[in-house]
Amino acid sequence: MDSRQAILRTSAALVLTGALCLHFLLTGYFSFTNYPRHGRLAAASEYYTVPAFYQNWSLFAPDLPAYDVQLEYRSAHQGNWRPWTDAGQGTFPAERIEQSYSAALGREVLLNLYRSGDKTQFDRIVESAAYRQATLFAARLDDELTGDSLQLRLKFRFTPEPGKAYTFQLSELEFPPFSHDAAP
Amino acid sequence: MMRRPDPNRLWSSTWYPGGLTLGTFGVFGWLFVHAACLVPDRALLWGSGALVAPVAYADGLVNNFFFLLVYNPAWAESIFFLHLTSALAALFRFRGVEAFRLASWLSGLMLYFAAYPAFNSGFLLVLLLALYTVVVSPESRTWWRILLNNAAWLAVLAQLVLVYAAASWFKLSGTMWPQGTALYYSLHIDYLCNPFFVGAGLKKSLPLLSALSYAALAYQVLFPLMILFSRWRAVWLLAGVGFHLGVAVLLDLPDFATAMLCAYLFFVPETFARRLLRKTIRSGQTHKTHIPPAL
Repeated sequence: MDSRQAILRTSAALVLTGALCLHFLLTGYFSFTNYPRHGRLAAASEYYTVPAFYQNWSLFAPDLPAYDVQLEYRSAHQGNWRPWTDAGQGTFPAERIEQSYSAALGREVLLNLYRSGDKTQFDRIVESAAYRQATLFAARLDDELTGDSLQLRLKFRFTPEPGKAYTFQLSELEFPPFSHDAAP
Repeated sequence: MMRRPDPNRLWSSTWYPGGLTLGTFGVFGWLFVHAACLVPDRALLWGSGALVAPVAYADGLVNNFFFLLVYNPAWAESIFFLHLTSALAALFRFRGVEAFRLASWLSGLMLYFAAYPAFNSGFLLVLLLALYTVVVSPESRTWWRILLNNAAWLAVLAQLVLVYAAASWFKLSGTMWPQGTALYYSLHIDYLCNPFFVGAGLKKSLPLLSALSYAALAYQVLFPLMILFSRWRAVWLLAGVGFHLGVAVLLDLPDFATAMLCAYLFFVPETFARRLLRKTIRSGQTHKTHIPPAL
């Protein structure tokens, strides 16, 4: 092998090694930080990683929810409410999507539900992406899509702390009915 | 006496202890089986009648391309079947298979972004591995192919190290994992608990669940060190097979667990992998290649 070939091959190897190092520097920085990211390196890592190399390794971390939560919905037809339906029933996609949306909505409730003037205030929650996504999901699950109104409910079952009495506290939270007429 | 590093090794030999053949087969096999399982329910995940609310990302050429199904749900059937067939084609070895591997990766990401609430990080991991193995050709003896093979294997190794290091970092920053209560809490979440294998007795067995939680955390924390530097790499990976099978069974996450196990296939010795695959997909070869007796 002559020296020109050696230079060519060594250069190719170095370029490839450099590209790999840069790739893992940026995706690594993205993986070790959480949204919202601040700073130049963070912006560069997010710009580079999303969407082509998107990844998320905060699996079951930092902590798991200390409760189980289920999403239910019901719709009103000509003023009559139908029974509550488990949104995760039936197909595999519905089950997986319900898990994702109910978890997001559950977190939203824990962070943004508050009381004012002896009333539970839902304004921050109904403005959230989690609520909008869950509502659209429930509307599409509803067979006929002809209802006047739609209402969501979250059913919580809180896990007892380890070593304490093994009893479960249950709680339900009904969201305000969503009406097509009232939608913006 | 200390040996000088030989720069020729960069392109004239393979660094990797093995696994590109079986690993690549496993990755595209996973993508094909995953897509095939979703055939009956695809209309619920993608398209105008999908259950998932579309979520857009920032504008831009690249973003618009990967988020195509968010903006144009009518393309869902075409992209889905492109993904399914290209993943199937990528299982075979023939000239130009790289185009099918690339198509499988691109269409897979489009499908992921359009229905992300239905998937976990297992799908993302397999897609990343699919990207790294697009140009892999373990039989080839040309210097630039060997260089690409080495780079692909290093990328897979680095990705796995990144997965476990980041997962450990986030777990150690919480309270449940360091206290050993993570598995106890996860088994009390209905969708993270397989009722067929997990009874009430196991859920209440705090010492056992605590020990399993610490073992899972230790496995993930030590993985980067053991996989990079240890002579016990094979033993560690075998333990990982048990760990991920446990995740599949107890936590009811078979897709995630099998995705991780696919990544482990990149560590199966190359000679063994080729013997195995030569028997199973001989018909897929359209040209003869010289395969050295040992790498």
